[in-house]
Amino acid sequence: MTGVVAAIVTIVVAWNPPAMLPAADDNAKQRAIGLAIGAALVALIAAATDPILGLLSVSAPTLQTAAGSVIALFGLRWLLGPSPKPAEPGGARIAAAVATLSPPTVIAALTVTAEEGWIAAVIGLGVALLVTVATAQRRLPVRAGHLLRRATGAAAIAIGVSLILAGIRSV
Amino acid sequence: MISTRRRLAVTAVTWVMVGAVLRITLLAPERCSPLTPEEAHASAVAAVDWIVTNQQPDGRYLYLYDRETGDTPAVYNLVRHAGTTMSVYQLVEAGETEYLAAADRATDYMLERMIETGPGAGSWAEPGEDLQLGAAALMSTSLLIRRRATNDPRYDDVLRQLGGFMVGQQRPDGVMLERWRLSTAAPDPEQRSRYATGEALWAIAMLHEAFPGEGWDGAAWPILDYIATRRDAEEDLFPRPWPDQWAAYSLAEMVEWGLDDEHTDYARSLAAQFGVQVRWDAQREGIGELTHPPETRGAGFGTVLEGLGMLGRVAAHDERLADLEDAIDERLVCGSARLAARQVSHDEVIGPKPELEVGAWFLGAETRMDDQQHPASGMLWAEQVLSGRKP
Repeated sequence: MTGVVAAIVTIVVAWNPPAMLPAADDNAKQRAIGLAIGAALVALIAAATDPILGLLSVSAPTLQTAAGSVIALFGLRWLLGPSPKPAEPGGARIAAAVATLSPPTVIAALTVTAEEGWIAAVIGLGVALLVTVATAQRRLPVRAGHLLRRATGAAAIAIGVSLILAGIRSV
Repeated sequence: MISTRRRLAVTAVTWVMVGAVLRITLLAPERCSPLTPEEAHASAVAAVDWIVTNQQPDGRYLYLYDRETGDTPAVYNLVRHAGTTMSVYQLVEAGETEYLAAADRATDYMLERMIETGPGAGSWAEPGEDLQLGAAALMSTSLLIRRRATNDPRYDDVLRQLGGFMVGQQRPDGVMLERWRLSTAAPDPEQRSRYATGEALWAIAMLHEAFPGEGWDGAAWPILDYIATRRDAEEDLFPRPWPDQWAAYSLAEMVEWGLDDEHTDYARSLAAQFGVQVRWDAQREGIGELTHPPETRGAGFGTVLEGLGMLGRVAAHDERLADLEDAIDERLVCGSARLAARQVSHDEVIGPKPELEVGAWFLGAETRMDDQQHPASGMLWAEQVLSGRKP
């Protein structure tokens, strides 16, 4: 994978679209709006990667190692942990936006911006958003959704470990 | 079912927990205090002052000192004697010529112990002891730096003799043998050294620079190939790449000869090896001291600075590594600033003999002569970067 493609895959996996499958009575439109708002907020945070690194006094490779650890740990949880409880009726927009602002997604967007640039992070967030909406529209069987979520968890572990190694192997 | 409010709370708690754990571990702040070129130079001078002030009349240096007990154990290491002499000559080359006499006294100690090992080949050791490749190599680099600093060719014959000895320790596949046994008057085919191979490569590469056309480069390339591609696995070294600052010196010497891709790949991985050590050390502040062990001794961290200093030169000359140059320089300066802050000043002396403490780096109560040698060299390379005079 080239750097940009790997960066996009990283964000999609850290976002984990199957983990955001809608609740039974979900309002698809409201939910999509919430996801888009969440993605926009993550993109805004990613745009401030340099000041954030300065504020935290950490270098890009150190952030990469930390991002890999977070993504791998969340991947472990997705792979082995219980399925998320469905949301209560109503509040789909807020719930979707909040779900998007998860530590793995945000830190993945930050490290992708640091390594490949903000545009790569924005493309990754856009792809993740589209995949999530498309998956939701297909109304996958619950079992298939769980399997996909766990598979993405396994991918997150692999990507997380590769990010950790990449951070260690950077100057 | 989970309510939106509960989802918000869970997300907030997750963020706080993840953030807190990261902040004291992997995302602990990297602290790099400011350092001026003058401060870097002064740190190198203070370190060499310690070396020279405590030098004995016979040319040897003080090897070990415990500032709690006052002990100066009667142990010595000839390879480190040669290496320390090399660092003193580096300071002479940097303009501090008042240290030349002390370095020459240390050189005399080595010259008085030279023996011939074959036609046009020789090295030095204590009488009755086997010869070590590292001692020959670092004596060579000492004399070659002296030659550059003074334009004095008086030791050229000795240098060729040392070169002959080093080449005699070389196998055709680039492997360097560490010992020359007096009992057999031949290299020990079994013994290698994680340090001496890189030391010998640097010395032989410098010989080619000093005496071009004599064929020393023909001996250097197989060693570099071996180090860059097979050494760590064959010699079971860990971590990989082995953080070999001598190989970094060699790469800086050879970069203008035209490195192969495998050499620049090796340089890249070596730079990362040194860089991550500086980043890790920079996170050792406050609670980071607990989460980022251990504190390294001056010698160990000084080699990291030396390695970065040399690889910064390589990156400046080889466009395949140009993307690393700024980061390498940044790590070098950060590490130098951190090490300079740990150097004992006049105000921090705790024992009765300030001359045994000022300018030194202690780990616990102990300092060893190479705890001053390697940082002194590293500070010189940081000074060059900070003052925009990197070669």
